[in-house]
Amino acid sequence: MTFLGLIAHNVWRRKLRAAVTAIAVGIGVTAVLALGVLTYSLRQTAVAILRTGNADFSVSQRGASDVLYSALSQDDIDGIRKTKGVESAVGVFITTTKLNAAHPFFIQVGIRPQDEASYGVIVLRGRTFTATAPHEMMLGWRAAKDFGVDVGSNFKVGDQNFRIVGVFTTNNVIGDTTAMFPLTTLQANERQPGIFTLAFVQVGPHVNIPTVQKAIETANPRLATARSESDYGRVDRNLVLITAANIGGSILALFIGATGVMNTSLLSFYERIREFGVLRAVGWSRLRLLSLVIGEALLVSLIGAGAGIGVGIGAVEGLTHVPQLVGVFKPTFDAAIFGRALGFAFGMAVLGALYPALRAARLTPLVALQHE
Amino acid sequence: MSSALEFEQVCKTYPGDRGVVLDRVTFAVGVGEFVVLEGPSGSGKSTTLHLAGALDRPDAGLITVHGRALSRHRRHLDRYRRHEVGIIFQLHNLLPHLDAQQNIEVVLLGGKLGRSQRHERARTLLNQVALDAQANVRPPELSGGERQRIAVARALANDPKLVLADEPTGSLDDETAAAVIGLLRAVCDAGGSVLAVSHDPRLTSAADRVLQLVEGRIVADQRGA
Repeated sequence: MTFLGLIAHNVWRRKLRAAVTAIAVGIGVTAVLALGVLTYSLRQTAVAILRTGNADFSVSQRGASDVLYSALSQDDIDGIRKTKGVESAVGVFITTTKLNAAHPFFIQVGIRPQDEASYGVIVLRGRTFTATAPHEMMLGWRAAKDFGVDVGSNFKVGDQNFRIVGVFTTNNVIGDTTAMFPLTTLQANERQPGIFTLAFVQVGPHVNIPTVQKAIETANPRLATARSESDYGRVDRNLVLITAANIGGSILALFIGATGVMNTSLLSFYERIREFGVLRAVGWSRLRLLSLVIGEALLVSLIGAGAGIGVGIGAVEGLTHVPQLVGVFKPTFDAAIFGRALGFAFGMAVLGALYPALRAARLTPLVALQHE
Repeated sequence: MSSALEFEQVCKTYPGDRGVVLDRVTFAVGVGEFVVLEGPSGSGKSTTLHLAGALDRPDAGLITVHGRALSRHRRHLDRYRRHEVGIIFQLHNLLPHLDAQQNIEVVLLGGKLGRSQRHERARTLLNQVALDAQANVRPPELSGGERQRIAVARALANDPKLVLADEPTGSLDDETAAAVIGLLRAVCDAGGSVLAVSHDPRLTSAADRVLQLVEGRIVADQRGA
């Protein structure tokens, strides 16, 4: 017999209770995993939009609920261009449209042909559209592949028919699933002439980027610049809310799960007082007894975590079919999310079992042995 | 003869009706000695064993084991219970969910012995108490005598220098009682010491000395048969 074997033995002899606790932990882990993947993936989508292009940083309207609802004027773009240190500022208009049930949030980008290079657009096939062409467009290569179209094909957006004149890449997954239109055409179609969503800024050589960011925000307080991933929360309140909901939900799940573990561990403690007394009487240290109780909770939590991760992956897969998320939510699983789920299970076990374990460890052997 | 266990003016009082249980008890158990403590119910015999086994603490007085004061070892009592003393409980106190072999091995967990050595040690002890065949049987399925023998084997698992036994032969037939007494005697022959609480004449007749405890006081100290 080994110590780990004894832990497994003790869990197994209360199978039903352990299973119920593992289910509680599993539900918590599922919630944490699904929320984590959802938040991470939506964040990555937002960040990808903001990072498209060769810019040093992007500029949007401060406090916009969603980065795509940011509205900048031509004067704003001109003001940015005039800021000391700015080499170029490309204004783009970004919007979404529902093409069909499978693509309810298809991203459209309006841009001037001369700004494409600064924006990081590389035409792979065909050519770029002309600046004011009313029925020309380009398609990212992933979108072209997805829709089974190519240069010369017709592409219908709403009531309008466009001809695909080029297929491009931006070397960005999100960028390559979008469509590009002449800036004025898209602005007119969306009835927002002269409005830009974002400005992508490049600074001159040897220019301190934060200094330029600060200068832009000082000159025009309604603008917010974003360079690092952590900046993006400032320009997208939805992202902040989603992240807050994720953290709040995870903490809540942690406490609910820990309460389940504590309930089981406390019940177990009261039933096993005499057993703990015997172990103390034969020389088990307090630390060893503490390790036994917490180890049992850890094992149950790890079993729950394993099941929870499996269900969580299924739940995330299910979320991709939710109409409101189709096309926007592309699940991204990374090691950190799994690590967080396991850490969460570990936290539930320790948090839930610590008090009963301490009580077990503090038992006086004789009192415990005389317990009925 | 040097002392393995020494009680010096030890007092113990419990709240409520029990009151004073031990009143300035003084005695010693020498190295290699087999001592039986007898007396009427409520005279303080079990309390004496509990104090000697560091399961409880005296209110006053000094308990020394191999020359070291037990009451000063408060932070090392686990170590004392683990390495220096083996306790045979009257009610056996075996863990019902573990089989006979595991009940012995559980004492050895966390010690110096590896897994296979623990297994081997438990097997040897089960062999000594003639319970090899019951190694994988759980206590509720064993007879009282078999449980008692496992309790003896468990107490000897860590090769203690002092064995404390509470009625170790009370529920045993003559043959099994003789085997248990033989095991306790073997502890003494190997340089260890035994303090047993018992009313059993089979045990008192095998002891080197018999102490009489009445109303919390040692009233007689006689050489054994």
